[in-house]
Amino acid sequence: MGAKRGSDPLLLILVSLAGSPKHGHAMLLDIQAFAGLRLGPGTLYGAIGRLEEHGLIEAMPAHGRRRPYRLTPDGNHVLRSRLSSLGGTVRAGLERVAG
Amino acid sequence: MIRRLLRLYPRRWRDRYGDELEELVESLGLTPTNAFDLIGNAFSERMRSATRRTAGGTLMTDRPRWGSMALALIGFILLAPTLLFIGFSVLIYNLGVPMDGVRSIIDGVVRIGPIDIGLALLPFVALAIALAPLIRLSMARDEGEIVARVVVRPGRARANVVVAALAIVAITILVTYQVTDRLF
Repeated sequence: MGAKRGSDPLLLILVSLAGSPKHGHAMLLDIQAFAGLRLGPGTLYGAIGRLEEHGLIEAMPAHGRRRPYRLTPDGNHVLRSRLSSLGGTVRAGLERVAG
Repeated sequence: MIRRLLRLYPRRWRDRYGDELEELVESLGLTPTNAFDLIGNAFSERMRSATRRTAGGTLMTDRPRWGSMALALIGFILLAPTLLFIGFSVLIYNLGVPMDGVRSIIDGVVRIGPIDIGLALLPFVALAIALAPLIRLSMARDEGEIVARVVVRPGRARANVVVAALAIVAITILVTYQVTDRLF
């Protein structure tokens, strides 16, 4: 199964790669660690394909059949913007739930 | 088994990510959950590949015509029940071919509202699906005015043209039947 309903594999991958370059398996483990979500392999590579196509991540030289990916400057910019937007939403939501 | 599942993906996509994905699935193990995930995403990639091709894109497209052929096939499958219904109706009611078994089935089917409506609507759905890869909509601003263009590109997608033509014939016959209350 892919990620839970409502999660965004693209965002999760960008966050994972913001820490350091990673190959697919390392991304899955990292995402499971920080988000508690287990992406399916097809979901992961579908998202990797879209991110690479849009120039938000780029492939690095392969190690055997494993190929690490890293964030591009555009990817970094998009991630910052998205997290900033989400941060506002989260803050507003928490305030309203608390109030 | 993993390779068989990967063959569900578009060839270009597989050439680019197949080895990595195969290695990952080998590491994780091919559980039923992972298999369903691969199948679902292979379908998504097929659809994206077909969509990009019909939009005029060139990135990561599969072999030419896969998407349009698939849509032609889907259109034909949707159209088939109505074509059979019309064909048998013509044989039985217009040409007087004695087919009592089929006749009783047809008489029974048309009394079931949802099926009757479905048989009438399916040609329209089939027509839309068959034409989808052949039609490109574009909007552009020309000297301050927004100009919408509809471009029909039959190209090599002859199967889509054939299915669309069959759908139009079926629609024409059904409309004629509704107007005159008889076939031919």
